Amino acid sequence: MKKITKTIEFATKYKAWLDEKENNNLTHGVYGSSDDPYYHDVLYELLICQNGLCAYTEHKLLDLEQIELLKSCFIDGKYNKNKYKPETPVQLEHFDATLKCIKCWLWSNLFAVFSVVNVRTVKGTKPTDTILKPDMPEYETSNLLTYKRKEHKFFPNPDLSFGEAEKVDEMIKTLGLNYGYIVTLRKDYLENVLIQHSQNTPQTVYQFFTAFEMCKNQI
Amino acid sequence: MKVSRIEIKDFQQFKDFELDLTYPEGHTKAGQPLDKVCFIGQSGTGKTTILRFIKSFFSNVPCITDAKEFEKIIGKFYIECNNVGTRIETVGIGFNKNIVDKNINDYEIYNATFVHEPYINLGNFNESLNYIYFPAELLDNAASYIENQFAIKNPLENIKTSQEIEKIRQNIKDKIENKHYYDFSKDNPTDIWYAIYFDIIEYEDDRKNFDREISQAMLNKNYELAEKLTNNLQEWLLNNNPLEKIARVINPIVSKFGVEIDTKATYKNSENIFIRINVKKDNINVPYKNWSTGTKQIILLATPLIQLDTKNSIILIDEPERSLFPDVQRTLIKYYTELAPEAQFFFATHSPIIASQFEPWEIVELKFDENGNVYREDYLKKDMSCHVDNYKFYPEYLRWDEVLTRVFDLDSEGNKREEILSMALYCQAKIEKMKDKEQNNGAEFEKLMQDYQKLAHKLGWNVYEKNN
Repeated sequence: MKKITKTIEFATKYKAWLDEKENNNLTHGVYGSSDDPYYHDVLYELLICQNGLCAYTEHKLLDLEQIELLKSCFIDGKYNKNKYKPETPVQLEHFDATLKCIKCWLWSNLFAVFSVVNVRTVKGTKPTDTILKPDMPEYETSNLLTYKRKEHKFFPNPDLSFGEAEKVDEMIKTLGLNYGYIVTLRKDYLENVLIQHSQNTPQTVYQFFTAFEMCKNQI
Repeated sequence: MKVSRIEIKDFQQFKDFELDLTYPEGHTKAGQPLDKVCFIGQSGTGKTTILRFIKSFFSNVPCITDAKEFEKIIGKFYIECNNVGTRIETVGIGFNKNIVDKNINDYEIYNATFVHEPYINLGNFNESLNYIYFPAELLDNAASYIENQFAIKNPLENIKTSQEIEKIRQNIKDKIENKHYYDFSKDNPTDIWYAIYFDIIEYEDDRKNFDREISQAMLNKNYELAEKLTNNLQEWLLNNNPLEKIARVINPIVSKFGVEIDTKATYKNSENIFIRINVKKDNINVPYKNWSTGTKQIILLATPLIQLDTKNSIILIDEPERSLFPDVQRTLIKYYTELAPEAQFFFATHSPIIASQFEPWEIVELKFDENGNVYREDYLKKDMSCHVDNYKFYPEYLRWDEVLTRVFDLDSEGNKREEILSMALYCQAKIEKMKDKEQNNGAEFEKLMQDYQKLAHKLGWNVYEKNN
């Protein structure tokens, strides 16, 4: 799970709306769905920040061309969904689900994630710990996670104390980092890439970067 | 005759459903119909429905020929067959609206000629056996019929004269030869069992002739001839005992259940079951009512395949895994297909062990799409052509757990395995680090080792191996 730097560059109308709410300590109204006025603005701005990857699993949701297309569809600080709506299984995810009812559009609580795994079947409204929140300033992947190529699973960094490791372990499960379907996708992709890497064949890695970096040392 | 393509249009969960049932490019039989097909999928996706369509297609069902009737047809089903290199024209089966108006699930299938396609009555096309259908409820139907029909009273009991026996025998023989299909959801297997019965009678008559010749030679003090005849008899017994033939095929499986076919049984058995089984260890007969369900399943399924001429037939087997332990399941497909090597097999199963005995192009995985329509899961790699090398996985070569996760889409490795796996990996890595730093003597290390051993034991890891 890569560190994510979240800046609002394109959805400026949403940013202005949010700043006003936050500065005046107002609630955000009831969260609806993709019909909400800023849904697409937030989702696509996040996908741009995340380089088209799922925030948690690093599964590729959009390629670079699609990201550029998204950028071009922000007109005067508002996303024009009639221009381009990528068909990819992505959803807006509320990291702390308890904030959904009062601060549903809080930028710092939102991520774009692979919908099949993260929202519907794994994370849902489970309680979360910010220890594995990828946009936290103190978040550093290699300090928290280790990867075992044999199992294709993440696990807590052995340098962590047992108590910290338990927190990380719980979040690995909550965020679906080792969810079976994701493990299968990751294993299939990485094994192929790692074979090429071991043969010094040039290759472009486009997803599962963290696992790839950690696997390189296990060849 | 082998089915090479199936199409179902607008019927229940099938909207525009097409199946190519031929070998892919790169296979030695590329383009020819598959020898065996395995349907898998969630309940309700239509595995059994497709088996029933196929059997109906090759049955002598009523034909609709009136063009007006076609307007009432609410669904269409097409099959293409290849027979020794000759393609047979597409023929359809329709669902007569008059029949289904009251209840869509209570349909009947009709052979139908469509306006633009020539009519061929496939029900009479194959002069030999068209198909054998073994439903999932085989034990409820055929097994209970045998129990009721034979175990209470032998229907041939009062027939005494050899002429009478010969007449019935010829009658049974004719019935089997003229029968174009066996549907064990309706048919009972008594004809097949009677055929075995008559084989036993014939065998015993021939044996008596041998015995007479040997006795005569002994009476004539021609011991050389008697010895020769005795040797001939031994060889003849081995090759001609109909129960030996059945035992050779069935015993390798049922011996795993601790029983075997009694090859010394005669038609004068006190119990009126023509195939008898004995407990292997002490040779004591097991009455039919006490046969295990697995034994019944194997014997009822294998005997028609042994007794009938299955050349160019279609064999449809629904849930072949029923009542059978995994070690038997893993051999079943090879077992049944070798019993009918020139037939085409269609299986429907929920068993990963059964599915693991097929190549990816032989598996038809049925799934519901978001609209509730059924589609075939594509096993080819994305954007790759239909070639033997281009499949995502090859079930016969996968580990058992991978068959579950890849073919059957089970997302986790085990019910609770995921819960402890990452902490076990953490403990293992931490132990290795502490050993490297020579910190493996204190209380902290001991506690870590204990935690790790508990987790590793649950995960089925060899702790010593993993730790070293």
